[in-house]
Amino acid sequence: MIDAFSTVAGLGRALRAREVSSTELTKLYLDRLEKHGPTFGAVVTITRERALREAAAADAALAAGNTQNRPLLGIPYGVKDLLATKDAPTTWGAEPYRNQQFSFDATVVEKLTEAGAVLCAKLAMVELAGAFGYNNADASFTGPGRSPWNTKFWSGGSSTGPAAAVSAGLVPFAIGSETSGSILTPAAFSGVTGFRPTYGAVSRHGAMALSWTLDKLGPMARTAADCNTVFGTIVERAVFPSGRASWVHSDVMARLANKRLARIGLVKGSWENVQPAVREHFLESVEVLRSLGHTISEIDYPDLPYGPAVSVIIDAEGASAFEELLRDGRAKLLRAKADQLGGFESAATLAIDYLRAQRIRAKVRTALMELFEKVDLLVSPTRATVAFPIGPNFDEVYRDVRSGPSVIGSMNLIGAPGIAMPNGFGEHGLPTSIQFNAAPANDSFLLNAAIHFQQALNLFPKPPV
Amino acid sequence: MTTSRRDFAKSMAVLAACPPLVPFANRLTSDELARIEQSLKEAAPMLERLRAFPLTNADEPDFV
Repeated sequence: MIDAFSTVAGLGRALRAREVSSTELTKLYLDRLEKHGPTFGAVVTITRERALREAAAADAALAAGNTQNRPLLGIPYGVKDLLATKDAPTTWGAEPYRNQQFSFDATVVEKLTEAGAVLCAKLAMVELAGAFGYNNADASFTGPGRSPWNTKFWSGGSSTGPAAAVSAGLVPFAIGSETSGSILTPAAFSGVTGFRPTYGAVSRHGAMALSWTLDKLGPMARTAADCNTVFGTIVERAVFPSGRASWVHSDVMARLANKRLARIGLVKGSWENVQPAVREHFLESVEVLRSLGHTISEIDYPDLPYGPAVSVIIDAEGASAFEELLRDGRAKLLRAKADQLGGFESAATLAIDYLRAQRIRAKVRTALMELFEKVDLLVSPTRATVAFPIGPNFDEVYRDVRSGPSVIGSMNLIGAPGIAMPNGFGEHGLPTSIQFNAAPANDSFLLNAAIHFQQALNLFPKPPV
Repeated sequence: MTTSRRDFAKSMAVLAACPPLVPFANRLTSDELARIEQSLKEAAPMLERLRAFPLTNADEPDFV
């Protein structure tokens, strides 16, 4: 009997030991997607026919013993519905695109197919990945994503479906996307592990564009080890040899290569005024890191206009990316009220402000790379609160909580890798989460640190689904 | 007829003194346009923080 909450690694062992076939495994997850997907607003399209075809091919490869260096062979998965696939609509979560069809697979899907993984579902997302400034959980033509821990609360966005589906054991892993928080936030709100790779490390060919200078694709799974396995399959080795992009500070890379223990910087201001359970579990996690031998210090985060810079960049690039929706007025077909007019507002962004934001971005990179000379990892709570309730606007809840420096925004501005992992439970039985961030191109170092932390914390929560 | 840079600058100054220019406004009702203009006014403090940040001529953009 296979546990639907098994890790990718565990499922891989079971497949290679012939304890279960890929077809059996695939049917298990297809049935769970059909049965539970609607409860969590997690699914757009179940790709049953394709999945069974790919599972049969995986079973043939397993029978032939063709398994070497194929850790994802026969493993089911889902993708955020902003990745093009040739066998199903690609809706971008938005009414104007609900019948959109591509004739090719996104590069990430191609890589996973080549690795023998089995695509089971196109997963729900916030419409246009939040391009037009949604302020409410009900911001997708499929309705709000619901947390498997408490369905009155949001699963987080904009990768709502990948987070909910992994959390509920509807797929072992999924591919999400992040422009500024769209992997880490839903991972935190749904109690799963979400990894945002260095900008440029994973091909975006076939992925919906929201912001060309910020968009990244990355895995969401039950563990950091599984994220590492998936990342190893989808990373662009040709332009990212041994985890390094050309623009990255090579001295930082060299210093961290094969390093096991880190100098960890706790971001001052990130945990003091958050929800009590978030603070409590963060401090417990810090003790776990200390027990592993890492050096811990508190660091002052540079005071720069991260939030305004990210907002202006997303506004300008998002309005350009979806200009056709504004030009023909179909933006008004979007689900969330804020999105119906938000794009028009974004289109009013002045060129001088957009360029100013990009010029400030250079200052941000300089300041944060100086910080990464002093510490190897930046650690903070992923979110100041547990998940937002479904119903009220985001800015109407948790008003007494202050999240401190915009770690997620600033790390996205410099294209840095980050990972969010569950570290406890707070209000309403909802998960809390901790994030690690490293300098760009230190993805492997970051993932290794996360794997060791997660093994020591030993918290791999399963909701009652 | 050509437009001199000075004329262009003058027209930009006139625009700057007007309510914010909302592209594709032909797709909006007057009520929607008013709501967008109000929202843009509310976003002004955020933009002011961006605009107050000191930059020099030598500071180039960093797109990625």
